[in-house]
Amino acid sequence: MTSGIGPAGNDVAHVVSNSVRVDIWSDIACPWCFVGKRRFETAAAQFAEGGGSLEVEYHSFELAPDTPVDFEGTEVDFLVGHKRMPAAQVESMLGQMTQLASTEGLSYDFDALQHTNTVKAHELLHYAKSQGRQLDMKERLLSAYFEQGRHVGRIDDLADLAEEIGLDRAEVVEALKSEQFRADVQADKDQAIAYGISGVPFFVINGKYGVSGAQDPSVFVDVLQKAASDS
Amino acid sequence: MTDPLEMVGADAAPVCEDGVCELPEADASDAED
Repeated sequence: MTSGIGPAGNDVAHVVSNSVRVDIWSDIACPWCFVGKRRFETAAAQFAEGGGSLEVEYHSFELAPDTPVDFEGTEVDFLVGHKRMPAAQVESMLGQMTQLASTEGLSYDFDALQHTNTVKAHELLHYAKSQGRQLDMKERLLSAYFEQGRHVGRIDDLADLAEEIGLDRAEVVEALKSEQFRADVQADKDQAIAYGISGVPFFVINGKYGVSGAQDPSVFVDVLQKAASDS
Repeated sequence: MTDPLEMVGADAAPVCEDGVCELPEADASDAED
């Protein structure tokens, strides 16, 4: 079974033929990845309206793998450390980011955000893929992190989120505790290196075209149509 | 072996890289607060 994508980012279980394949490298702790997801979905909806079909898969990319699971401090604290900018300036920039995200229908809440390590969330995305629910899980994780102040680094919290989309909680806990999908996370990271991907979101279309960043939907529409016409 | 990708789109599209995201620039008046 392949996963199609609809305007709301939900999995659509159907088999597609002559579809365009889109592989997306992304992290959870990545504000542009959520914005880029929305912009891509806008393009996907336009592409679908024109009769195109898509096969979408998310891949793991860890922006800050050294981040502790229980990071002590706010998002401002984290960014002040990384960007070496005054806290007031970072707060202002986050305000700008929040405003920009709102234009995509997203309600970022950086005050509530709990910074954490995302490797377990990536393992969960691979588990969800094995259940045909990766797109729903990706959406749930991003919203939980940026809009709801939920923790996305601990097994119990991730199991709660998985259960909320209908996945088997006990299976999720077992998969995450056993690190069953850790090798899949690493394989994604290795493939990103092979492609030369250094920043996310990053979109690979039919294994041929690369699109870096949260581009305007028109860019995605153009490349999807180009890829469809290649085949 | 992975074939090189043909890049499409604007070079300046925002990304997150090395643990840091390109955040929108704040207005100078905001930064002064």
